[in-house]
Amino acid sequence: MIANRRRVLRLGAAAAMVPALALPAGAQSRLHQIAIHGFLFGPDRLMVRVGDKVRFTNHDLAPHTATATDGSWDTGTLEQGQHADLMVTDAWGGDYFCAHHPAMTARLEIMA
Amino acid sequence: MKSFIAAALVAATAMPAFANDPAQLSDTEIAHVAYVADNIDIRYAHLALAISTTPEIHEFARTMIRDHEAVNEAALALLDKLGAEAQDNFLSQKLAADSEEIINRLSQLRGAEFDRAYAENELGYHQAVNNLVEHTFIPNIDHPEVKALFEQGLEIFKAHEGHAEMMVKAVQ
Repeated sequence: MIANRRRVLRLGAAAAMVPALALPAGAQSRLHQIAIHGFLFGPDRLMVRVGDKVRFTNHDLAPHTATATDGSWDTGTLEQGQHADLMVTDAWGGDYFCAHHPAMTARLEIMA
Repeated sequence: MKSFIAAALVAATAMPAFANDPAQLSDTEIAHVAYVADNIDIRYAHLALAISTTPEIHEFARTMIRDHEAVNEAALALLDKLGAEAQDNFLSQKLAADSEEIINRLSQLRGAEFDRAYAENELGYHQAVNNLVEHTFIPNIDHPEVKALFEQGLEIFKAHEGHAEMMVKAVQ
């Protein structure tokens, strides 16, 4: 399935961006969910830590992306029902938008 | 450039009940109009990709192709599931005929003049189609799944209308 292969590639790429990430002692990596629905990111403000994973799932009929405004990360195009899991790195910018529908904007508050 | 299709749609929706009335179209005729309307915008987008050299116009055009193809695919899948076929009708034919005139005019333009004309046409077109879908089609669609699809489509096309408005300002 293209969606599965894309997911694996993205996780692989994300892992390659984090060669020697040392989380603070006792810190656990979390999986956050952001739903793309009704041309909105929900939640549109989310606090995440470096090392966490963020799952963007597109529920809309229209294809969307979640793309960092500074170009530091990008889910690529997600068709309806597809998702992308990305790992947060310290190179990430927090502001993001849908590259296909630029009025859709949101923000991640990235903690070290 | 004014949107001739916008004018045609306004005239069509003002027709008395006993003439060709969009409110009297069946679900499968309405589906046909949607399919034709999507394909018209896809054609305009391909023209923009061929003629314009402005990156914002290209991004908008690619989004039009991507989104309108997604709606058409969903519409065809739904019709297939329901064992129905979209039916040609007076409004589909009028939209198609009017779009030929617009394509003829747009294709003679170049540079900033094309960009402005394309952006203004996209805004007018989406405004007119959204008005038709929201106030004439959706209230008159019988089948709940067809109605739900049109509601999803309207959400997309309203986003396009907003995007077109931004584009009109950007190319002034």
